[in-house]
Amino acid sequence: MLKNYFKVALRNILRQKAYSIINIAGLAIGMACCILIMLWVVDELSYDNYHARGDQIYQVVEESSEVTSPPFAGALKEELPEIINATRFRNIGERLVKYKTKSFSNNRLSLTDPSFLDIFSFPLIKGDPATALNGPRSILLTEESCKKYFGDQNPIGEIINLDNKFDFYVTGVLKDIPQPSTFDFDFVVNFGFLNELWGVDLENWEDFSHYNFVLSQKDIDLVAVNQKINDIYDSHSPENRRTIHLQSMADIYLYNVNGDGGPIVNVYIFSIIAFTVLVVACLNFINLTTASGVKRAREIGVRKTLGAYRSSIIRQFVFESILLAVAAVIISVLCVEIFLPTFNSITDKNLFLGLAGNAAFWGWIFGITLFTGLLAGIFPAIYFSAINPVDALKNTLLKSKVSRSSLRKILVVCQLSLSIILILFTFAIQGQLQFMKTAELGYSKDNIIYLKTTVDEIINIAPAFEELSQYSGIETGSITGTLPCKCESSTYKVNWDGKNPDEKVRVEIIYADHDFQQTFGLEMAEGRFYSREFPSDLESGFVVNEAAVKVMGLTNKSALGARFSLYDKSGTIVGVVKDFHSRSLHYEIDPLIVNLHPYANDHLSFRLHPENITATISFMESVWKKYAPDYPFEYKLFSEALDNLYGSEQRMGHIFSSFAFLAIFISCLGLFGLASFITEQRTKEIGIRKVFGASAFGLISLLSREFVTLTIIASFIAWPIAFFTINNWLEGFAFQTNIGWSIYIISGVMALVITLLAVSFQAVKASRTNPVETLKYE
Amino acid sequence: MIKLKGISRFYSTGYVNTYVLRKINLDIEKGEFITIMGPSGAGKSTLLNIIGMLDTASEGEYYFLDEEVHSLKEKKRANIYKEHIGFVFQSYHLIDELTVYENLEMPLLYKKIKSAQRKSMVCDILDQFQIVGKKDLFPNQLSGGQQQLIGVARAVIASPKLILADEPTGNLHSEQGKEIMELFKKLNDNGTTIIQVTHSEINAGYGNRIVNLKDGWIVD
Repeated sequence: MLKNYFKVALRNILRQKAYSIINIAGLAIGMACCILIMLWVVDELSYDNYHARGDQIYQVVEESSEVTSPPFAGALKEELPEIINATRFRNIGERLVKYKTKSFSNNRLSLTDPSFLDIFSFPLIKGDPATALNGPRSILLTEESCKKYFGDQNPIGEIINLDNKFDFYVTGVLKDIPQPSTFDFDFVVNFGFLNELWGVDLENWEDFSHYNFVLSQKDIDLVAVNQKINDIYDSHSPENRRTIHLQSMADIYLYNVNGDGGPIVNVYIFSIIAFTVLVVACLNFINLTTASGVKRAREIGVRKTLGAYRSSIIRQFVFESILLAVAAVIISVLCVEIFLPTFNSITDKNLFLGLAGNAAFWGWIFGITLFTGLLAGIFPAIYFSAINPVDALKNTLLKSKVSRSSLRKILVVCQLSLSIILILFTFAIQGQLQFMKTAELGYSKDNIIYLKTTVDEIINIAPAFEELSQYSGIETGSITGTLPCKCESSTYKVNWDGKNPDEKVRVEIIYADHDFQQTFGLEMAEGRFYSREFPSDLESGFVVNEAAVKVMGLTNKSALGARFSLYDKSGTIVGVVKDFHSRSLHYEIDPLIVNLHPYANDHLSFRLHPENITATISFMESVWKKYAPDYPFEYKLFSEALDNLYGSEQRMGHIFSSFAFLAIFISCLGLFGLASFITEQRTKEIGIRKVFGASAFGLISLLSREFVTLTIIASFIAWPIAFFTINNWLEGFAFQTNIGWSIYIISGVMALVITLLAVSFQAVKASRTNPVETLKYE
Repeated sequence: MIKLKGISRFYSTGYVNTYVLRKINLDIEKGEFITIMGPSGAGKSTLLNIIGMLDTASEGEYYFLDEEVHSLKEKKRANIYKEHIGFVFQSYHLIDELTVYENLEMPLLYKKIKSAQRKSMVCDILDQFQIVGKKDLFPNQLSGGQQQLIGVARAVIASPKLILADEPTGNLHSEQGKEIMELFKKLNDNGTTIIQVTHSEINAGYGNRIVNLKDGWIVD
């Protein structure tokens, strides 16, 4: 019997080529979208899932930040029976690494404790995990960097030099870090080196700039453990105001530290898009199949008179749609293979089709195929199987029934609504992106370039910085701890006269020199910025922003001269800087201190004269080479750093617009096909109307009227749904663009135009045929 | 074999019931060759469809081989006609996507007959109808007469007790029509009960009883 179904299906596909192509192409595009997004989602969900004891690993985090202070690891392991092991961890960025005379760039160094290798699953290819990280001068390489420096040579015992200063002995080689991973480093050394390198006090409970991970017993009571951790922290740092908790390894990538938001939101959004596109494709299939049913009705009638049960007709049509789904999935896998590089560049991922030997992948493909086949097939099957053989064989009743089917109208409306929602979301994302890129940030972003270096270099580079600042092409230069758009450090250890001691105030800190304000064009609201004319600024001056003044309960004017202290520096406020966006527009503007800290920082920013920028940059490079010959001169544009703040939204925008386009394209294919069937069924009517003098325009509007009505209904359904989801999405931003009503109108008009284009082709064709031709056969 | 008692068929249009058949009483014995005649719209095809169980009566009782057809569920009815009835249509109704061989095989598939037996049954009928040479052709490669020949072959392949033919020669020219009617005669001689609907006096001559219908009534 299956053979019989198969033959009929295959011959039908071949006989109605255009229809089959539209149907299979629609499904294939839908499935390809689904597979692409599925690959993306699986990748997002598989971060850090390679640790054998991953369910027992937690990161110690603060309520709004993932960094904590170095003593945590030791204290928790020591004092809590629930904690089996703990490790500190810190990335310190790219270093200059030399082996004999060889040096390569891109060497990211991390520091950690020996227990790191016990807690996480980072197997060693060479070396003994029990001792490899014990020595203060031991260094572990990843497989990749080992190959880079040593080729096939055995690296164990060789000496590697860091920053032209420190010699390390290679004690082991780590297997490359499985991807995707939140860990990303080329070299690891003992955590104690941090003290030697930067003089970091590893016993300071308030130095919140490190990571701490713990390995717990199985099934711990998280609430109780969190309480104990806070008790320990309070006992060591009684004056603090921070709350600490554990975040499980599986959540580190997907969720923000406070548990809501994070990449998981995009995972949900994209899963919904994938599902939507697939559903649009299935609706298409259902529509076309039922519309073409006129041609199949006779066959169904015959089969029924020959003794087919309703169930066998259902089976036949489901079988056919699964067959088409299989054809579509083959095409879609090919499409995915072709478009994966593009998709990877949009999403900034390294996805690949695990075609060979990936059982889970095939399982998914099988699932999608079956799901699509059933979803698309079950409806037409039920519809067809209900056909009365007497009607079908008379071949008259059915025609009018099919073309008037209200159910098909509902399907078309669903399809169009989904497309309109996707169009609207695309507009909203683009609008918010545009808003964020053009928003007034409180500082200028043009003609500013920056270099990231390390502290040691800066001490040497002070004369170079002086020399550069003299050059006519450079207007001003500044050395800061961070860029003004990427403030990452904050503290609660501030005080002022009249501060409520129980009040918990988090204040952001930017470490900067005297030229920071001028270089980035910050405006003063009151008072002055730090100046070399006032040497006392270093010891006792403070510049704060307006938000800080507000928290202190003062006005800009009255803040000047007010007593203020940060850590153990105390003095008075000398100036109030106007509020600026120290982080992305996702966040509110928080109280902030610009703390004077000349020369001891790692971002060198220069505002260039807009003329002759190339000459200026080559001059800078020559100066750089003179003072720091071993270090590459790698500058970046400040405006790019700003754009990068919205990388995730940018990617989402790209993906959204691509998939919205595809969903609309699929809908168009469907409308086109549908219109051709309906026009075909109304051939006789059109012929008669022409004979009685209907104009071409009149006929086109007659044939398009139904679709126009459906599009308008679809718009009214889509608008409120889109309105609520868009507002929901925008709530993730502290600063939101104002989405006007105009995009709703535009989306509706777009859908209308697209529908008309798809439909009118058939209508024009029909209006041009000679009525004699069409009426002859009736 | 067939007993119709007070069978009526009407369609509800608004508040009025439009009758197509009115109080039909009819007994058909095994081995008869019945011809239903009458002008257009007399209800001939409807009567045939009710006998063939493709349509159900609005009123009345229908017994087929002593089964109360009027009170059976659809599936059970389908089982009866699958087992006992073969249909022949005016416009042949072969499936365009299937070859002659596959068209003939189809009723056997729905009867769940095993592959080997199916093969031999199809070969027998191809032989019997002398159409072995056409078995791999598609319906649109055949003339109308040949198509109807396949239609009859398909109807009889499962050896039904009853054949229902709705104007079997209506689309054929007289020579082809004659061949088909000869074929029915032969089948009837071998014991198959046949009920045909026709306008043609000549065709009616092949049968042994005529039922005349007019405006839904049986007239004598």
